Amino acid sequence: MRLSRFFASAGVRLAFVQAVLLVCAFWVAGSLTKFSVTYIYRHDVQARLQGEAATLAALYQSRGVGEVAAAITRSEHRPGGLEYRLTDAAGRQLSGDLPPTGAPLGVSYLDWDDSHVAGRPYQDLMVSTTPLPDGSILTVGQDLSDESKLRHALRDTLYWCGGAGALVGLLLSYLLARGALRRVEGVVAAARAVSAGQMTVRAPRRKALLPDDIDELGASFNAMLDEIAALVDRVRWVSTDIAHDLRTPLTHVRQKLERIRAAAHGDPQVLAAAKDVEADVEELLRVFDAMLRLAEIESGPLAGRFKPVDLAELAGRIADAYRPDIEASGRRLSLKAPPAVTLGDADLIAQALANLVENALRHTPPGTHIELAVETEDGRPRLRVSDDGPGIPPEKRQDALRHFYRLEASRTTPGSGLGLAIVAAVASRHHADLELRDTGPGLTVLMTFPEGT
Amino acid sequence: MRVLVVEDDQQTAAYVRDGLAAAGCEVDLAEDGAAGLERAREEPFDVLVVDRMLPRLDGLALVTALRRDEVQTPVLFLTAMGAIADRVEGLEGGGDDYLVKPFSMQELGARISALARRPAMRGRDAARLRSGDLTLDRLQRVARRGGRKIELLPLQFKLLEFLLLHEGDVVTRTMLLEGVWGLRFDPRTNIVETHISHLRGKIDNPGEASLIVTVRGAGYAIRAS
Repeated sequence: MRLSRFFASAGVRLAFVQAVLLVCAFWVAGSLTKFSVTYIYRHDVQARLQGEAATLAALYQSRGVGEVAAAITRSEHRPGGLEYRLTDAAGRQLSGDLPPTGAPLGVSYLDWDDSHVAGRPYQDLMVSTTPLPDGSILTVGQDLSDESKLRHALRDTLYWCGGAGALVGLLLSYLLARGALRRVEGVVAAARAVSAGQMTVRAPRRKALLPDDIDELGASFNAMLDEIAALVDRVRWVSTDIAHDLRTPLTHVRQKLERIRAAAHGDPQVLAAAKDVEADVEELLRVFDAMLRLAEIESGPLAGRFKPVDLAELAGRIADAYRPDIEASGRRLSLKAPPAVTLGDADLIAQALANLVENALRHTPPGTHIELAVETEDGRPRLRVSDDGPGIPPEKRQDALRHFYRLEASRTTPGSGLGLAIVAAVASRHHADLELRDTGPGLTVLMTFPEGT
Repeated sequence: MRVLVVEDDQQTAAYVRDGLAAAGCEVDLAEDGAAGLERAREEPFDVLVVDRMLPRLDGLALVTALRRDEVQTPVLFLTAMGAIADRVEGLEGGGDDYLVKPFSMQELGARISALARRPAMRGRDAARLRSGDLTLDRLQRVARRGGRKIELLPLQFKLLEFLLLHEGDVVTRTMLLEGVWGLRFDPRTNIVETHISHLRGKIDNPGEASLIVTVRGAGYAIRAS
């Protein structure tokens, strides 16, 4: 799969947007969670400190300061316990491990650096400082490093989940997009094959319990192709029917003409009349054949039979065939045919080229030099038929170009017009560009085939 | 020469029968595909002339069935189905030649004799072709008339070779266009006539009748007088 195609896929783009959104959402969620965790945690700690202070104050009321000091010593060493400091009115420490905090009365935060209490480091601390009736001061504090641990744990969890989620999302999207892309490519490949003339090719179908939009795309695409194939078939049958219905009576006409000729016993008048009728029948057939051929080329069930065509050999064959005629008419024909190959139908290309040569022969004065050349331009093989005749007068140039279009051609001059229309149809069937250039003096017709074979 | 004509259009069938009989063929008729298949299987014919659109069994199916049964009698499709695809289908389906209606009797006759002669031709000395005192050495690519060596362009050589391979028989313009130039359409110019006249200029002896005879309305034949 080409990278550019991959990034062009709507699925992949969606995956990237999703990943970015996911990361943003985690970031916002993380910030909000950090804020509320801090708030709730501190609120809790504050309540706990105030509760403990109140309990100890009540103990002081009922039992006195000694009992309070004892209670502090007991609870201070419990795991997860609080920190205490009890000083008397003179500021002497009676109980507890906390160093002097310098905190005002009430609840406050302390931000200590490198302070150690009983061998343990304290950084953030929340303390509640309460005066007791005898003037001594009770300080209850709680280390807040648990809070930052919690915050870090939370942050790490969010990072990992967000990162992993984004990665998994990307991977899943990639897999989904790749699968979808492959199936879309199947449809695209089928479309290409069909437009190249392989009417029987269909987009791949898969057995799915729940058909998705791509299944639906493939199915409707195939339905469309079936319809087109039926249409092409119908056109072909109509052509065949017309051919049969017209050719059979024409066969009879010819048979009767032969009988008339045999019965004429050499009567020159009858023979001449029979010959005239025969010539008319021939012309009728020629136009009719050309139109059927045109319809066949245009409806295009032929392209499936495309094979490599040696353009040099083909041009040589046509040049050899026409040279004596061209020279006998006082014109000159030259051939330049280096090797070039295209994929196509040799018979059709030969007919198109022959039509162009005949056209040059018919529309130039004696003495004209006609050139038939095989060229390669930008890797594209090209057939060129040019002459140094008078070319096309400007007022007729449009007409000549229109001869390449079927409707106009069949309406005006059937014989030669259809010849050019067939050239145009052959070119279009081969996806070749047809160009009519006035090279003053003379006319150049270029048929440029697609690159590669 | 025995020819079986499988054709449902009675007028055409009669016309073909009379024309071929006049040319010395023994002609049998079958009116539908099934009857044609049966007769072609049972009896030895030299050539079969088969329409494609036939009642009961179409012409293509008839030929396919024959070839499956290893009946190798040469088949000429004579049909109104003239599209390129039809033609390819016919030839790939086992036909040996394809002629589109309407046709001229001479064209049909010439093609039938060419087909009938085909097996016999394999026995011929393939390296050297001859007609009277004209010889064509296909290996050395040299033509001689009596003791005179004739210089031929490659295309003229090919044309003469084609005529000599059908020595004594008529070859039509379309047979030449297909066989020599590989053109499967009818150009509106006289290319065949011009080439024949050039070839005559090279091989004929001055003052004598041409070796290549024009058969009016049909084509050309090379034959020693």
